Amino acid sequence: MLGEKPLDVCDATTERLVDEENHVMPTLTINNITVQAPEGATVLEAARAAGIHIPTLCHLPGVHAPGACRVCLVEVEGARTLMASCVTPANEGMRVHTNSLRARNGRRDVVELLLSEHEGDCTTCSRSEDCELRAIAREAGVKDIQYRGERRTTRLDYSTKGLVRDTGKCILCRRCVAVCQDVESVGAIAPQERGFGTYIGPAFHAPLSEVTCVQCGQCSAVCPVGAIGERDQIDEVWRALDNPSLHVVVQTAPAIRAALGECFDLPPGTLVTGKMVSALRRLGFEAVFDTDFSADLTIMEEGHELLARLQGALAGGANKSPLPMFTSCCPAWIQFAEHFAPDMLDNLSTCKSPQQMLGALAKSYYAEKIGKKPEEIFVVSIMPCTAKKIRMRSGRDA
Amino acid sequence: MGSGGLVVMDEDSCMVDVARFFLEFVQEESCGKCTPCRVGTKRMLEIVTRICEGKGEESDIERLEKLGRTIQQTALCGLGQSAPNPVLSTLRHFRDEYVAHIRDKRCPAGVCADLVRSPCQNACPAGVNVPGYVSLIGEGRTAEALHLHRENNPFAAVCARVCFHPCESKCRRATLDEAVSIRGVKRFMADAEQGLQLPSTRIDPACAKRKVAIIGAGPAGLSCGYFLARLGYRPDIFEAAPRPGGLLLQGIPAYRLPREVIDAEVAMIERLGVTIHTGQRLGRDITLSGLREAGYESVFLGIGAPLGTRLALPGEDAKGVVDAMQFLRDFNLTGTAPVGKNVVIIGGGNSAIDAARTAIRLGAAQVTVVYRRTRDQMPAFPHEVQEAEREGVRIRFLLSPTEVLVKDGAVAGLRCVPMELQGFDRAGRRRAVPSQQPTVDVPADMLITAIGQQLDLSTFGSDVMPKTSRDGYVSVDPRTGQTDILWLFAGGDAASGPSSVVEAVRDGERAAVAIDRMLSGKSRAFWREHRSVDTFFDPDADPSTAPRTHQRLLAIEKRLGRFDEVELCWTETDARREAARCLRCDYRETCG
Repeated sequence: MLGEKPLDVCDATTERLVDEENHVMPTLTINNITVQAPEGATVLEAARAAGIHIPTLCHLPGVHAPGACRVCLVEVEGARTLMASCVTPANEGMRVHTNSLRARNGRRDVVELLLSEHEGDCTTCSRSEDCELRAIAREAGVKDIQYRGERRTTRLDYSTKGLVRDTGKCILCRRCVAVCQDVESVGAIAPQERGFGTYIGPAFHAPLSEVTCVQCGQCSAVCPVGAIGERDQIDEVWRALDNPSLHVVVQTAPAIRAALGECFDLPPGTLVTGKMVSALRRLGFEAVFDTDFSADLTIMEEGHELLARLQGALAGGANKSPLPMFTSCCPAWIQFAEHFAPDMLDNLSTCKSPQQMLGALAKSYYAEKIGKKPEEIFVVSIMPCTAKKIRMRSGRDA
Repeated sequence: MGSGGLVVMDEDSCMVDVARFFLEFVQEESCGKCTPCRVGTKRMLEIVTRICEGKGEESDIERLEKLGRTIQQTALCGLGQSAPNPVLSTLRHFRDEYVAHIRDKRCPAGVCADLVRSPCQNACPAGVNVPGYVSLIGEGRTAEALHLHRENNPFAAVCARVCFHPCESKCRRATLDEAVSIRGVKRFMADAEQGLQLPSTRIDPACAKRKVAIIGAGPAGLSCGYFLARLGYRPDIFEAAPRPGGLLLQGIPAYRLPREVIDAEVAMIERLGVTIHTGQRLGRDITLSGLREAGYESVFLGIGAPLGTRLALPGEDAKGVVDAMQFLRDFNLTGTAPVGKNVVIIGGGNSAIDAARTAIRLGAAQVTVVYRRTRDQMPAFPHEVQEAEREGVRIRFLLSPTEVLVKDGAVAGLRCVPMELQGFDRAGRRRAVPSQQPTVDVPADMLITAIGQQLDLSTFGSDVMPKTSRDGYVSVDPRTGQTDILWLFAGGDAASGPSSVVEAVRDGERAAVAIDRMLSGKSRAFWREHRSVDTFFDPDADPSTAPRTHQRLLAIEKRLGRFDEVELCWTETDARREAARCLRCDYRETCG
């Protein structure tokens, strides 16, 4: 019901506005504008439905509204304190002011406190261009951080192949926890300790690689700051490209050619295949491969495997290859199965993913074709997900 | 304190430390989910901790108030919303304690470890290194003890007789048995002085050429001169009376403070390069603008509050009614003063007792002190009151004068209304209110009033005059003693109202340092640096079990009709034994 225009229908018994499902819709004023809120809506949802902006930080629409960051504070007439609009229900007759002096000052002071504990340097942070904390700081009008004191403890976690964590930059919004527990149903990270020393991470000070994390990267996708991010391997790629004894090739996933344009201010979804390939060649890659090709291979392989399983099942006898057969190229999904449904591992297809298949081909068929040894081939895969990094082989046989 | 409970504390609890304690507690209880409580209370704790460590900054109070209000308004739960309350409450009701920590780097309660070396030294307005000199006396090193004492207070001999010893009131020994008799030990040290011991002084020809004037050779003015001379100046003191000393001479009687004792320490100050010009009254012989024209770059006003507060009662202008200050001044300066047969003194402070004990020595048959409150509310030193009664002075309590009874133009008696105690006033004292009982007539042929002291503003005449406060004393910057006129400083009773000798000494020192900073641009008060004392102390040994040594006093029969000193000096055995009772609260593992 959120965001839908309410109908002007009165409830016969109470003469209050109801929507088409007969839910009572409270009427309130926000910034002196009369707003009809959908039933059960928070003040934030009511404001958004009416086109009124209230800044937020820890709020993740549809997933997570803990009222923790205190950025979405608004002034409600008659209330003793400022109210967090993301968790305050919109009530009949409420009078809300989102930009009164009290609200603006409260918001600005809260953001200033948040900045005072932030242990991170914007100049070198990977999120500096799209950091939500920086944006909020500007919007709230923080001019100066007047509190010099203890900052958050920096705990770096480089234990996994795909993700990098820096607790110093964390703002404890707990979006990552919500996504990991409620959306991904993995629950690898949670708030540890309490008070000022709270940090998000696996229990018992374990590194991420030793818990059930599947590297899906959704935590880094929702993190508003640079506290969780994907592992940056650009330097390693440059080292390979600079190395004259290596033949460096690259493969690009289907998604890349449609997503890359956005980084260069083209409308999202613009197809930039030709530009992508030319750019990769200019960087120095000897060959540019298309993962679409090995996707066809995967289809053929998996198709044959399914046929074999079906034949086995229909023929009866010992059920050596059980049905149904599941397949996904997503390494996180495979990890999830390994951690949470190990009894189903036999149902998983044994085929490699398209990315793996192309990598294998590059070091065998292709190497032989161009007369190089496998160890002279260096394969770089540009993939749309952190989970793919699980498939990366590190070390000298990379 | 924000939690709805009731805690009872006294002046020995530091309210800044209490606020810090509460914030530490809040930090442990905070869940950490919302920003204002998690970070905000941490920042408040950091600021208050800095203040307790003596690293407070001027804007810290505003920061705390702003942060506190923000946290109250924005925190998620009741814990965060009420967490700032202890800080905001203590700021509202005990702001002066915060200011003392921040501005003066002082903890009045004597609690904050980074600001307090020992409770006695902390309580001393002049900051004398009490455990230092007491331990030196304990080792028989009285000359070094005297030297250490005079680093911060020139009047060792004077204060040994007349100081109200705030050090003893905070002495930790009192938690064991009784406070160390610091004043008694000091008396021994002072009387043991051989010749005139001079303090360390800086020679500075540039400073010596600059002219600084001090008006009033009382404890404040003399102290200012003493410290300026130690910085290299050669100040001039202008004193209206024929002899220097101020209230030491004119107010305090000789049986408490012999004249030779005053003269000796004044002579010591003059030997440092201070010149005292007597018979020079402000307004008559010199003026402030005149001094400026004569080339004085800075002037210190130590003119005291010599005017007695008037009774404002009918009959007060009759013959035989005199103000206590005037009575004492007349006797102390000239050696004679008329005294009646039946003397009644109105008041309960030291001036009243001084006047009473002087009158009885001058031969009054009956001396009665009339006070409107009770014995324990009397401002006079308890031992003075006790000696007065032993000498024959009668004290009547809970009587408030309403009229001076006059016969043939001369005082015949004092009509008083009996009072009773009911409720409390704003200062926390029990309030005395007139009872319904009939009035009482106290017969008298001489009435001495000792109910308060005022600044004599007439001395300024039509010349430049500093701003005065609502109480009628000179308004000064509490850090420097500077008045609203940049080159004019003030201290002692003139700025604070009736106070004490040691506080006047502090005011003089404060102004001397400020004057030097103004003239030279530097802070050069070398005596303010702490110097550790090399006396022996074994922290593992049990404390001495000796009880407090009692003051030996002149026998009553030897006192009557004479002004011989009542308190007698101690023997070396007594002094060293008493000094050994000190628990050495100043002892620190690293430097001793």
